[in-house]
Amino acid sequence: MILLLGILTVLFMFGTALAADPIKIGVTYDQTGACAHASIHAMNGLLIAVDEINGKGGINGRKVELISIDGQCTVEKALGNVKRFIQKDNVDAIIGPMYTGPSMAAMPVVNKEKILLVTGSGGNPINEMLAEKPGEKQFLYSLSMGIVFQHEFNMQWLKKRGITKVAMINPLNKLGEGSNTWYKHFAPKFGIQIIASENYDPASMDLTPQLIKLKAANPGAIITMASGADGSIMVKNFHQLGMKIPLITSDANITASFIESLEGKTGYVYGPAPISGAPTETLPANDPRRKRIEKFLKDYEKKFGKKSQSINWEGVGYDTMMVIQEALKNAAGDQTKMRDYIENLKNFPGINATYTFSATNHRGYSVDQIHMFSIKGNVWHLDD
Amino acid sequence: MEHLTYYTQFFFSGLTVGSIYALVGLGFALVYNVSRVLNFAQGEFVMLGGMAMIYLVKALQLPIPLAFVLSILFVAVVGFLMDLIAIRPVQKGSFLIMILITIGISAFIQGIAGLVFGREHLSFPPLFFQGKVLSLFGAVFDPQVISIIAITVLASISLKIFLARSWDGKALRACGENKITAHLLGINVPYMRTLSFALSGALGALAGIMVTPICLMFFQGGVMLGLKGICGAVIGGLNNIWGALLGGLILGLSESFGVGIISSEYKDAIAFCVLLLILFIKPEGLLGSKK
Repeated sequence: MILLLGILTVLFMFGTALAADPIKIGVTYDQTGACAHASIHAMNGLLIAVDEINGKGGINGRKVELISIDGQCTVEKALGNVKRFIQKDNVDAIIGPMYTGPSMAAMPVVNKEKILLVTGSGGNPINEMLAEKPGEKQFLYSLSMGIVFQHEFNMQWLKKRGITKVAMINPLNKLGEGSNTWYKHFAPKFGIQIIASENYDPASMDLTPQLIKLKAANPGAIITMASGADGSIMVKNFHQLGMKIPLITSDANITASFIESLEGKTGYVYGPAPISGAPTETLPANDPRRKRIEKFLKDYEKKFGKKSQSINWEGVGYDTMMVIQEALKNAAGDQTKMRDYIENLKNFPGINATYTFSATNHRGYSVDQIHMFSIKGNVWHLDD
Repeated sequence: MEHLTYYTQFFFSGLTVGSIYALVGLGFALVYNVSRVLNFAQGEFVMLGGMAMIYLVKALQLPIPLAFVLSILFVAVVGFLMDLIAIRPVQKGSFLIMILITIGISAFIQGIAGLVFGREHLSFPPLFFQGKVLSLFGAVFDPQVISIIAITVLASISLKIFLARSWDGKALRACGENKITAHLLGINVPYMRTLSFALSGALGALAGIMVTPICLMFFQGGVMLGLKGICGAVIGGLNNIWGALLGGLILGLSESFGVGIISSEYKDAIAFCVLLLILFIKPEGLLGSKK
């Protein structure tokens, strides 16, 4: 009996070794809750990337297996997921959380446990932390333009347009606070004056009181991080007040549904976004980025039976998996080496951007990876 | 001149927001008057009305009048079912239990709506005065607000007439006054409560259809509207149908003047100070009567 058990055990071990352990990746995206919107799209992009990788035989012969648990847009749940991935599932890398608060809470954990975490949170101050403490090894990467690059880019764009006096209006939340700070930080560097500033409750249903005060200051443009519903209400009120200056809103608005919510009032509305926000037919035919994006859109339609919903977020999920694949290909099994490998990755082609990482840049973005968009014929178009 | 423009704009903005609160508050007042239940799912009725209208107009491309009637009927049925399934089995429960049940239902409806309608903020073109803007002293005003106020007043008057003249209306009021006496008089009290829920569903849907073109709608959009609607109805006096209208407008105006003159940061604080002040002076609300 004991002999039989022994043989079985040996056979079992042999069998699993032959099949090659799958690569396990823990995903804590937010499938429910107030912030779920971005994660749901990113998850779809992630699934396409995993299909593509496994279709080609996996990473070094090992299939990728996702262990996905809903982060529910809360710090507690996200932290619980991250700890579970490390202690119970023994994963090879972690993806998410996308929301700023939870992703910041996960940072000290992954740094202490030395495990790679890649997300797409725009508000996470990863690059600022790298700049503050240059020697510290951060295990978190965040593949989105982030609030700082976005603000620098907007100021650069305004300068290029010869606009020197702007008015600022931001929501009363962490995003708005950050935006106020970074606009004030970058304005003098580009010779721009912020001549009026207002804040608003993001649950407001009417923003005319704030906008009419900004209008009285006679600015050359309005800058705001208003996005989603308040962004749409702001654009409507802006048009009601008959304002005819650029209204530069947040990157989150570069979606078809935002345009739909404007009910035709699309003039003067701008927003920064990575190249994938542009309709592919507006890119030069020989642009390699166009081919990548077109392939992604085709794969998306094939997998989900409908057109891509929000390619910027889907691209975050897709690019995240592809960057992790690169690290796994070259350094699987050693978390520190994987972390270092990504830090040295240069000109890595993704859907959203061509990523170049460094010890001071864990986003892989730079200002020249960002483009200004405006709405023409009910579609977002490049407007650099 | 600048100040005149500002104050006119604050007034218009307050009127816009206040009229929305007023229409939402009306549904609360109705259910409360009949069943003494504070229905915290009223905001969800508003959301469902808006989302159903968006779905019927945008996805199914139905003509607007048909979509309008169907949306209202749909939410009335939701109200009817809510009472039948969740409230009726515990109708002898305390005031607190009833409130907790309505809060539970509101979360349930939100969850289902998120799955069915998606999580995006959506809208549809306004029913009246599409794309028009009124201007006075340099301040601007969305004429849709006029239609919202007109509909709120119209709904209040019809409710008033219904409650005062029709047999069902009188029976509804009797239930509000005293359930046991109403029962002794041969009024079917549970049936009357079901009717009030269906009616408040219809009123909520009407509110949702009217406000969506102004402030957009999404699956959680009813929460804030519901809270502000209750707030307005309490300021005006929960047991008076006109109270919701007056209270909603006062709440909207105090918010907008607070934002304009003091600061956006104190928007809610100012609104709640107004609520507290009025409740200190007249606990039953401005138009409410003491029982």
